[in-house]
Amino acid sequence: MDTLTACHECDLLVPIQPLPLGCKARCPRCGYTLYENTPHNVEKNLAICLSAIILFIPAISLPLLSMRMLGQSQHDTVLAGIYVLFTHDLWWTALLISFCSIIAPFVKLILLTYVLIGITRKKTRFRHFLAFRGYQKLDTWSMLEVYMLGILVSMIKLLELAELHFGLGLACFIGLLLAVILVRVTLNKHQVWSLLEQYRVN
Amino acid sequence: MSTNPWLTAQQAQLIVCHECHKVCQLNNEHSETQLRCPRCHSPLHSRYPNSLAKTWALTLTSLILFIPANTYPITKIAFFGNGQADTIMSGVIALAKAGMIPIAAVVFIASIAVPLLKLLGLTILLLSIQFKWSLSPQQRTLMYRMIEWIGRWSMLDLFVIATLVALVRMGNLATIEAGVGAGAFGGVVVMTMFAAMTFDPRLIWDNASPQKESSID
Repeated sequence: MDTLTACHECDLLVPIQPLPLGCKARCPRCGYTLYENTPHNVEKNLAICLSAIILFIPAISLPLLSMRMLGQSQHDTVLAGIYVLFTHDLWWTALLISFCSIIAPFVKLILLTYVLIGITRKKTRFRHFLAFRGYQKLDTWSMLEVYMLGILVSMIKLLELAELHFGLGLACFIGLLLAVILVRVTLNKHQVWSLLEQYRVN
Repeated sequence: MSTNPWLTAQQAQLIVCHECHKVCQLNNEHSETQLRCPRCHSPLHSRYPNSLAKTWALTLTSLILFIPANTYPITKIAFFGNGQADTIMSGVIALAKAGMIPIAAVVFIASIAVPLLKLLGLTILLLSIQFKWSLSPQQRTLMYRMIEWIGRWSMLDLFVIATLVALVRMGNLATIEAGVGAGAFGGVVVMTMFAAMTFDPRLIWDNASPQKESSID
């Protein structure tokens, strides 16, 4: 059974063959990536995850942008945006935005860190499997890169009306975004699943 | 089965796990609803249960929500006491009139074109499976992947609103508030994302397989 795989998108049965390093196996029928052979980078991913978690708190609580207009000034943080929407009784929109910009990305990072720590210590339990399933579920809902584009669009919208300044929070947010993208690109999910199975202790 | 060069897991009595991609044996002792993956313990299904019905329901829901999302104001802007409510489309037109064509195009694509094309694409996929249209399965798979990948970018407008309402709150001078349309728009994005998740792309290939075609002949 371990010498076969089935395409996730078209259900075609394909025999597993050893791949040279850096190569991907694609489904011969629909072109979906079946598995790939990437270098063992669990420790590297763990380090990126930890730096992303450290950057998280300043990225959502420090000012991203500040605006100056006729002597008055105001700044924007991720948390403030959600708070203002809540106070305007748009709780559903506020909830959706907080889920996609704070809860999903943060929980996702915590779960992945937990899984990777389990793998580096070569002891995995059932909870690590559950954690990695949770990570895969939350992946679609974590939208930091869309938020970044949103910040850019609002910046350009306000550019003619007022004086804008970048805040320290924006630097942290960009760092966080780069870390999250790096993890998403370098993480080999098939490798993580087989390592989880290999080191399972109960 | 030997005449069919494309043997699927389902035809070979095997199930691939949705979560960890392990190939599992389907034995007749358990019904399919009780099966769980031996590796990650998630429920196993050869095809997502009721995939078409769920995707239809979610697609129709987002189609209905698309109406209030575009007719109710998503932002209320007030400068020096002069208030103005903007719907998605009037916001795009205002940006274009102010000479900010590229940004107007980005907002138009993310908030109007993408949700509409997604709804259209999902409807075509659903109809093509329901009525066994002979469209190219490769092209339909490509369409499905686009729909799945692009869905999250529609949230753009909501993040713009969250940034603007926090930044522009200066009492009598200038304020921006979010409107009811924003909530409906969020509903459209979430429902279309769920619709793309409940749709099982393997159904595209099931009715396109040479076996089925030869049985029709």
